[in-house]
Amino acid sequence: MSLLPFLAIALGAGSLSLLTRRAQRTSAAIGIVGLGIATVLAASIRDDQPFAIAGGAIAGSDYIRLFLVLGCAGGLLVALVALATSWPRSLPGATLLGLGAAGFALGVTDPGTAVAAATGGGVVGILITLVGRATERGLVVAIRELRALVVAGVLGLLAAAAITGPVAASRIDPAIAALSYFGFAAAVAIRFGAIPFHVWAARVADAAPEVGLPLVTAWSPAAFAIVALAWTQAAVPAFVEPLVAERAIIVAIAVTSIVLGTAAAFFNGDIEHVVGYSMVADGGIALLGLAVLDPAAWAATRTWLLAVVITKTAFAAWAAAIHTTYGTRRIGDLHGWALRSPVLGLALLGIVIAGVGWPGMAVFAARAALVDLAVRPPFAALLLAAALAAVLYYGRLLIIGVAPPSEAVRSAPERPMRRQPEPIRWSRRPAGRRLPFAMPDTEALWHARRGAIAAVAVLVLAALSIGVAGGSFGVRAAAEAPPPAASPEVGAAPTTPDESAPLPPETSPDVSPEASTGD
Amino acid sequence: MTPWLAALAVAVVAGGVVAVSAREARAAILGLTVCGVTAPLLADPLPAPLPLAARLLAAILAGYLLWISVRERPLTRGSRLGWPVEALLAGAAAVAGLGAAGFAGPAGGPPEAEAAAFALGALAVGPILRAADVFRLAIGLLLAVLGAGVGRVALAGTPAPLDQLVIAGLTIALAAAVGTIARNEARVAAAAPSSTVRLPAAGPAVAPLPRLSVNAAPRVTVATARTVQPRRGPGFRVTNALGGVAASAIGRVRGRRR
Repeated sequence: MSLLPFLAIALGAGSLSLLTRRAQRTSAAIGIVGLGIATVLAASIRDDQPFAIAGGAIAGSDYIRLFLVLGCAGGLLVALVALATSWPRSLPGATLLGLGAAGFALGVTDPGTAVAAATGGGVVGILITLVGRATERGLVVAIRELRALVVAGVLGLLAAAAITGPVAASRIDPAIAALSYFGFAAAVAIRFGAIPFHVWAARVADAAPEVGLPLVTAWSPAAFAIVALAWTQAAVPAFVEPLVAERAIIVAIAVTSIVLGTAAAFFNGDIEHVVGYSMVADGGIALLGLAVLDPAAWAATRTWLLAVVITKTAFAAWAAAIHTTYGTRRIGDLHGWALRSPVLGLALLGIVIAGVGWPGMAVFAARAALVDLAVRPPFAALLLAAALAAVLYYGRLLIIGVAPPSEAVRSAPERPMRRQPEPIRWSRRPAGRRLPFAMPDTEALWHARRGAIAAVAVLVLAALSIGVAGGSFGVRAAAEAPPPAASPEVGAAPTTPDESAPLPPETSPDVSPEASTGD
Repeated sequence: MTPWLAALAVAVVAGGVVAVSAREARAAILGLTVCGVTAPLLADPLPAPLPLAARLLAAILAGYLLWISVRERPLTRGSRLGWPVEALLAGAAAVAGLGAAGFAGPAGGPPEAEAAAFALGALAVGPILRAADVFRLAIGLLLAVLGAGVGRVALAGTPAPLDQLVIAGLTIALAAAVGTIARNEARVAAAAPSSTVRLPAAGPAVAPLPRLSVNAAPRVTVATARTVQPRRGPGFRVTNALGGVAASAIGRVRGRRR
């Protein structure tokens, strides 16, 4: 019940913001105010019983609260960065709709409904890739992304329909069940742009604005992955079949994504591509969680996803700020950037800490747990080393940042904070509206300070990332909580007679039957 | 088999065949709308009236959103195989689906739904894998979503009302997104050099064609159609006339007369 106000505001304000896109200021105001209200409402979500609605059920949880609060707060900060850098007019509306759809997908107890909602949220996010008067490249990206999204959604829908719960899983043909499991996992791989499905993701990183990347490549796929994880944990372990071949293929896709994604991020010379490929690599680690049909993967995967989405949001915002400040995305032209922009340097340091982690941090433990569960020694150590190699591309950016400044960095405009805006001249005011004192020109002030404001917003995002990666805000407890079960009481989700039958002995006792697939 | 369910399945598949193979965009939209309107009815028991109304409205709205996007580009490439081949393909897939009813365990829905799902899936594969233009891709994607919805009915029975509402929302969101992309594509295509454009139904190429990288052949817009005067064969005229009739049936023709 506590989720409904958030959904109403997120979906309503998001739709309104998108519908008024042509009036840019109005649309932005609606979107930003909506994001603010949605943040407050998301913070009020509680861990409650499923609420019956239209024949289904929806429930809030601590994990949903964390996911949505971080999403809305991150969305607000990204919107601030976008105002200071480049403003895609669909950004706040698409963010609100995407987060609303994600909240619905995580809260609803039926996996098929959840998949449809997560796919719908992803579809709306495509609008971000069409900036202003769309270019041919933007169209290519939008088309490819749309195709990937819908194909993944259809795979997920059919898989969720084939196995609607642990009891249904135990009575259908094992080959069909294995196909469903593999199809759902492949859908998640497509959504994350995992190798070999990475072409669309790479193009998105190239053509979409940096501030749009978090929604398209992180938040929407993460919501889809959480839905898939819930379904996998609830339905698939009911099988007697070990699904060795299917899991091996998924692990292979994950390992390839981790290794090649990290390598591509290290060798690529464009900061947007670095952000995109780093997301591909991190998505590979999330895929390991789907390959492990062990309840121990539940909390680790959810912790990892929560930490990754906020860290990549900060990373994308950092890339946007750097691009706007120095007018280039080429890493080779950015020598000395950290010396000229120390706040952004500090922010990247925070992003490194959150992204790579440190022993004792929640994100570090989650990654190690997933690797240990999915791969046997000694390959587990190698894979963990490959995953930790993320420090290389972050380190490369930091080292370049403290190198002697390049021409592009030297010739960048004077640091904004050194330019003091002039007070408004009386002559610029219409007659009869003279003010008794000199007020700073707000617009000039904004233009003068916007770089600094964007840098501070990135720094706040980095601080949030460190908090989540370290396990603050109750991340561990929220991630470990089992998914909400549909209440058998009046008003709860209806259950079929078959689903209310006793569970087979293979079913894990800590996984709730049927309705435990939403979050 | 229930006769009325079988008739509905035939209507769903026929709408899909028209949507995939028509070269007149408005006729394709008409086929897609027929498919979208009939697909939710393909369930036993029927969905509740309110969610069913939502699905029907969503299908009509999706058609209208696509209609808006093709105002300035009334033609599409259609199927290169032609409608008889598409119809045979859909028929074969439907028969396969009918034969495979219950393949995933005890069937939750009618076998006719499974047949329609197979047919829609087979029809959607071509436009999704090799889209001649954005509009055709849109047709493929919407058919895939409709097919998945029908497939859900076949595998798990009539969905709950909440599920119907979400599927309706997904249909509208997808049509809106595709419509936006298609309109932007038309603008980009209109800005492309017109001397390199050919009409799809006009027979041989007018000039060597550097393909746009939008994974599509050069676009046909009102602007480009004016600059290029192709040889229009009888096939084009028949298709055009059929498209006009279809458009009149829907009732609102906003595109310019060609």
